[in-house]
Amino acid sequence: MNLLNKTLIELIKLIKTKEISSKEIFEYFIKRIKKYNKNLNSFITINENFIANNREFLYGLPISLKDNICTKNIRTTASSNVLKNFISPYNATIVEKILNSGGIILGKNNMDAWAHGSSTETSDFGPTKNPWDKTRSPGGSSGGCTAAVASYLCPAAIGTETAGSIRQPASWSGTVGMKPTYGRVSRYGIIAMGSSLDCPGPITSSVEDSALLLNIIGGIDKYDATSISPTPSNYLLEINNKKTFNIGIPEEYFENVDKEIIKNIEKAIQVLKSLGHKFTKIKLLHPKYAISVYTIIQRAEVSSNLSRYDGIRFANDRTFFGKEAKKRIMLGTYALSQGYYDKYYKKAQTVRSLIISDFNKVFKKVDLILAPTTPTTAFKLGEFEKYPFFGELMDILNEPSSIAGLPSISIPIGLTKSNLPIGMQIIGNYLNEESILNCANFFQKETNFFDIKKTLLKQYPD
Amino acid sequence: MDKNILKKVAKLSNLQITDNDLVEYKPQLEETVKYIDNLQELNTSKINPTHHISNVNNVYFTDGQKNLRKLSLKELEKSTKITANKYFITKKIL
Amino acid sequence: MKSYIPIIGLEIHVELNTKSKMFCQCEANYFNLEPNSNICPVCLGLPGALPVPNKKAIYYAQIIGKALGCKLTTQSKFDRKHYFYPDLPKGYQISQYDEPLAINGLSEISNKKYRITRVHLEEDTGKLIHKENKSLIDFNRSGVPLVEIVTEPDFHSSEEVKTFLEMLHLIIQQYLRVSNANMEQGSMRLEPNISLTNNINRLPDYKIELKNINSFRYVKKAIDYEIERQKKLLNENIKISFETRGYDENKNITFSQRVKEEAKDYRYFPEPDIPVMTFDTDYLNSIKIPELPNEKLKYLTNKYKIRESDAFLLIKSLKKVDFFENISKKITNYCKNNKIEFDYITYQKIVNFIVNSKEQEIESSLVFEKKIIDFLFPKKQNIGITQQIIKNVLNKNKKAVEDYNNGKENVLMYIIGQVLRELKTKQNVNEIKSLILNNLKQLQ
Repeated sequence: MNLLNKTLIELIKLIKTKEISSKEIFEYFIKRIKKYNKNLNSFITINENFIANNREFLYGLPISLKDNICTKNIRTTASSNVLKNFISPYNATIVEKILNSGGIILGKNNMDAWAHGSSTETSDFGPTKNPWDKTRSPGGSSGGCTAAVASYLCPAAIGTETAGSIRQPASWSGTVGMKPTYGRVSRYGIIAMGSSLDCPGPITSSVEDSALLLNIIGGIDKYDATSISPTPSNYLLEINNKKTFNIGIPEEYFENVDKEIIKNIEKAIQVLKSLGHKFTKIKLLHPKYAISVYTIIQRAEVSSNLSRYDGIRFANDRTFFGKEAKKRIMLGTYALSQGYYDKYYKKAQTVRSLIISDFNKVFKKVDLILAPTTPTTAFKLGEFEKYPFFGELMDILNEPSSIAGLPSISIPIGLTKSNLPIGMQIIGNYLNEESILNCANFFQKETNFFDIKKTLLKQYPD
Repeated sequence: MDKNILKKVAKLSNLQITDNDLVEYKPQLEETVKYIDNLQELNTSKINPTHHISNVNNVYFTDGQKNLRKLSLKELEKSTKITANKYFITKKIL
Repeated sequence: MKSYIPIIGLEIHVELNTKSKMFCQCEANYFNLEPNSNICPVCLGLPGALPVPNKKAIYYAQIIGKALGCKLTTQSKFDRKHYFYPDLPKGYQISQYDEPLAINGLSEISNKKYRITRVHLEEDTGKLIHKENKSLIDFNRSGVPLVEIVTEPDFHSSEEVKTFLEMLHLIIQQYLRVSNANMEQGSMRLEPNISLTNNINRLPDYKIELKNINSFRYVKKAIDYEIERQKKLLNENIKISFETRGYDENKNITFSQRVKEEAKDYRYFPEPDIPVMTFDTDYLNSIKIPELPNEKLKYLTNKYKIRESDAFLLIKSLKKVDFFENISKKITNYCKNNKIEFDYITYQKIVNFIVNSKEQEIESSLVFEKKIIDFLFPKKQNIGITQQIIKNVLNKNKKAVEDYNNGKENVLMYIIGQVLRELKTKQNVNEIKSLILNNLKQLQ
């Protein structure tokens, strides 16, 4: 049976009709990982122990997790030497939810160490390569997840986004990456980076799979005081009732973007128009301010969240921190210190209010906002060293919505002439994942994402 | 960001930074700080800071609930540096 | 020699007796547990763990605030206070910085008023045990709810501080019942800030923070020592700077813990993991505190007309107060039913009796009740029997009678004593005296 490129939904159908067992599917992916992971380095740890788990809604299907998600029986490293051999005594809430819904953890994916980066190159376990071009980065910090999903080493993964860390690598690797509303998915058991920004989210090859996983991992958690009301609806049902939307196009998000990307976005807009959506020009605060807001808030929260790693109670001490972590901690401490707090941290949180009200104004006029996910396609490995704050610069188009806690999805909409994937993002209003998924789903139904994935998988046969 | 400020910040952050590190980080941190100064262009005098994004208030737990997360000695031995005498150890604090 | 006035402000920490810790469900009562047997990912500070606040701890902090005359804030939040120390697992303590739960209070004790700056809530740290070449850490106490009470520098003597602390202990432990407030066990901790000035209108430009006062009995000693130490320095014109000093109870001295300490940079910022707390004024007004010692004192002296000094002793034990009120009611009824004349002196007698008894005695209250009633209303002996006994005694002591009739008045005491010995039950001495005098008259 040819399993290559089958989505979660398709695999579930096969399991239900007993054409294949979940064990066979599990072993299929293990085989592919053993074949290709050495080259791609998308997995840090692989779990080869199959345990039957026939519950709905995943019926025993394997899911891989970014390595900042705590798992009880598999080490969790955050791709840092500090946590090289750390085994968490508890599962993150979303892990419990996946296991309770019939999922099996396939392994832990490589990432930028502590999620500090947008290229998966600050990992202490070596960079992950972009399956499209192994001299390039898959993006980050969830690059291990997107590389694995793109090259079909797993059918789906859960990554995390603080600002761009799901969407940007999804864009550079040619997969679907969904960042839910902040608080929609529990952060309990996620190694904290930016506490007011972190969002776990699904990385898949189809929008339907994204909805399925969001159904499973979303919802209020008594162990996370910032988690919000229960998942309101069955996303899988919602996304199949076709709706049309008013979509806003912010010209600020098209500045300094590669011409090829803009061309593909314009093509995608035509497709959406033919599906009945209406488009309006909108004005949003220039994202250059969001970079500053995000850099300050994130690094301040990072400097605080990484204080617990002192090597006394568990893991290695602070001398094991990499360069990037040290720099971010220092800048964060600086922004919070006496004499600088008002100028930096407080000011950033105040501009944050501006950004939020900016979006609120716009969402009175439109249902969704559309823009390129990233200003460029995948960089060559090593490029990031040239930039003093590479991560934050790369994520310029994602930071405003992350700062406001808004949900957003990145979907692949084409390839450049040099065969690199292009991503488009759809941002929704607070708590409105349904509209995003609905719009993206019908786009996928209409275009099949231009068969991008099929193209790549020619390079990664069984 | 002169060298002394950087040293002070490193100390506050409980990080050991060598002089070589300082030389390497200084220009990068300075460039970042220069960029983030663009926030001063925005007038925010009449605006309050946002500290929480979730739009919820008053989230609590009820006192006396059963502790489902208590760590057993076995779990502590597997995941942490707890010693045979059940303490964690650190170098002598003066 | 200049004369100096001590300027003392207090920082008091109180461990709450909630069942659960401040941000997780581990037990708040960590006393006598095996080390590190009462911890979870949250209070151990493991990766990915998140805090959720204990509702009751917040309520208890508000009760303490109200009892100290504070205004309860309608909006409050938690903040992170950063510093590195092995007993602080996250590298920051979740505390409150600029929006505490209660502010601007006033506490009146012994007719003196003390301003309470603020009352806020935070989490406790683990415990360090120092050995020769290493330190051991036990996190059982990490995360226990701690209320911090800060006063203005309104205290001017160690005696004032001691009195205040004793009253605070009483209020918190017995009246509010939100903590054991025991200094020896560490559930109440005192850190006085002490400085001296020779001009009450000019606050000094320094203050010394005193730590490690581990018992009530050292409070006065430690503060007195420090005041004297500072007096000596100032008289020699030596400038005193901000300093943290520890108290050594064995040598009765204070010693420097950190000289020339730079003002600590805690890098406070609002705790992003915990949403803001809002309280509407109706709710805050509805928070009831029981009658506090001061009010109870006024109530008791007004209603029962007992001496203030006795009432003061009574209010130190709510058990005794309750017992007093119960027994007073019973006795008033008893008198009514037995047509015995009743006056307020009876209450005073009851108070005396109770105050001089141990609390354990009051436990078995029925027995104790009978004791009081017997004490107040001794059973009247049959008067005929009394007369007979008097006649017998006078018969046996003819010489004494003769001496009395010859003018030796102090023999009367001897005769009364002899009679009382013969009488089986306690009698009213004055009544016996008059009966004896009558008899003696008849013998003249």
